[in-house]
Amino acid sequence: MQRYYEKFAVIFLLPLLACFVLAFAIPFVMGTFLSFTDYISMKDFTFTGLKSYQTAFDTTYGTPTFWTALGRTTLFAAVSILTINFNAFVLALLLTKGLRGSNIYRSIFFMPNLIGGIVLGYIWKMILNGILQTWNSNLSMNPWYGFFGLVILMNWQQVGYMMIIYIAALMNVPTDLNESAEIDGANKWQTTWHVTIPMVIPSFTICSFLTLTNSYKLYDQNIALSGNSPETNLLAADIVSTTISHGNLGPEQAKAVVFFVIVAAISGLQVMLTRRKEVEA
Amino acid sequence: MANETTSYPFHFQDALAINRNLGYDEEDAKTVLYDDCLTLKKGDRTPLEKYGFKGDPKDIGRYLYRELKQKEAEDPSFLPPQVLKSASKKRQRIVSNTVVYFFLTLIALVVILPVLIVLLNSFKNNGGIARETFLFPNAESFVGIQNYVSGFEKTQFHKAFGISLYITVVSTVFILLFSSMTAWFLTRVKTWWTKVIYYAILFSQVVPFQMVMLPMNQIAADLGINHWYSIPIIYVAFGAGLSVFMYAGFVKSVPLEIEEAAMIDGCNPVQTFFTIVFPILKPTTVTIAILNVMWIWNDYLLPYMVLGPSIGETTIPVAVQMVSLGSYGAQDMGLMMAMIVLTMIPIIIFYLFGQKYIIRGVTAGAVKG
Repeated sequence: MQRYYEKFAVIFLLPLLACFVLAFAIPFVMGTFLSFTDYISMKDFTFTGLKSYQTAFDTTYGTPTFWTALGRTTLFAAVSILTINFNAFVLALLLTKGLRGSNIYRSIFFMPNLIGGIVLGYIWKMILNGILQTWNSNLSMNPWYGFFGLVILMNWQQVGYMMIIYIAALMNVPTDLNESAEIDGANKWQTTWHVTIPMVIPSFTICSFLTLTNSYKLYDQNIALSGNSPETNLLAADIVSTTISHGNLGPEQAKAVVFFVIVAAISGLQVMLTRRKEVEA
Repeated sequence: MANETTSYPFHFQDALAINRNLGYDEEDAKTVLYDDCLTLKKGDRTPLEKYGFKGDPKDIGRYLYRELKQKEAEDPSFLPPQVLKSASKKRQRIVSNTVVYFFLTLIALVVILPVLIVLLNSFKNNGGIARETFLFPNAESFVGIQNYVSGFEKTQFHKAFGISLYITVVSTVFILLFSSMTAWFLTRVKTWWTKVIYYAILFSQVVPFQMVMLPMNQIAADLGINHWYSIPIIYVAFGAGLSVFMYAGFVKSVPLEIEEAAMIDGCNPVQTFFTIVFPILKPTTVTIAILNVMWIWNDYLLPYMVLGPSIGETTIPVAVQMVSLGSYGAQDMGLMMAMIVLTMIPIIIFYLFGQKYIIRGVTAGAVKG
């Protein structure tokens, strides 16, 4: 039957593949190639080997924005993973107690996920500035305001999403496990800590990696909240901002390649870890 | 945690007998004993005096409780139903539930308030927003619907809305159609080249947009597909990764026999796919549709790069961002808030109607992706 199917390959594959090759595959290959060139446009470039990478990470004039942005992004990712997962898990625990009205709360908590990044950024800019003006300050006075503002914003947006994943996991914990722990004399905290949490570890992995990749790829919220500033730009915003302002695009493409390698490495690690868990289970 | 070692020279039957002697009927004797177990487990030794037992109250509580549960396992009707709702437990629960409800309501307010503040501020002038962000508009700051009127004009909101709607709907339809076809074919035909294609599409999921954005933009310009009506071609490429992956996972669970039966009845693969397979894929299609609608509607960088910043030819997020940059660097926050309200209305309507599917879809997408 396979042989017969194969004759129809063009009909089934061509529509998607045509779009995919044009808008993704070719740009990906070209992007990689152009990172080894000096280029103004795709028709105007000279091959320069690793020079673009050198320029992008050149430390002669102080630390290049890329490294500071990378450091900031990593710190942001770490803070986000801790806060978002903690908040989401606590809410999920409370909403799986079988309380009446849990579904309404769940729907409310999830709602911010549907709001787009740019809009979110401006909503929180208005609110945070409103709070900060009590002390005659505003978001642009201190880069750390922008940083923690973004942490608050991302918590507001993402906690509901992660909570949904934790709720799904908690619903799958068999109730007799908790009951038998209780019979053995465990109190609520002990049951949660020794029985429930170990059972939902796979979802901790999923949520941590989701937050991690979300943090590294974060762009819209970042530029809307704190403008396009080297003081507050995360990695993605750093690359885009220099792309727009520079004539020679080689170094920016080089940064993008490094950015891609980082994101791909994180995803690779995630696949490895979740695969191993599946084998154990 | 298992604590099997301690045993005592008495059993729960002895305790029950004592309760009966105290005048309780059969059911109440059990209920009282059950309550006493819980009291003992908390370390309260009062019930011990009644029974005349000696030892650590927590330990005895656990021991008796275990015996009761064992008995219940042998004879499920042993414990009367009201035991499970015993009074002391209920009282505890009401107190802790009130605390939980209070906490949840507080969080719900934290979620909802920002949206309400946006609504409030959309009726104020910029000074009012800056000075009294969290207050109701007053005579000085109230500007009526002026923000809406000028914002609508400056963003050409009706055009931006139409373009966003067109791009989201058309892109999603094409993504669903093409991805399901591709996923089905790649799952059913197992050769080296279908594997290469499958993994190439999966791979695109881990590539950040910034990596391909410049060359993609150039190609789009060269081919003349950098218009709002042709941008769905590009969205198909960037939506393919997740969609093909999720469809492929579902196709694997579709039994081959159905397709073979259709083939024997004279269907060619195209007919088989559209009349038999695609309808079976419907639940996955709903999920994938929701996931794609959510990111395409809110997408900013792709339309900004491809369509450019000119108002009237671009999507809502880009228009909002462009208006915010303003002419003299100062942001017109009142106008922004009005535009944000207009942007959120369709999202909230979408959520109110499709809530169940959205939450289910997002869960499936997160766990699989």
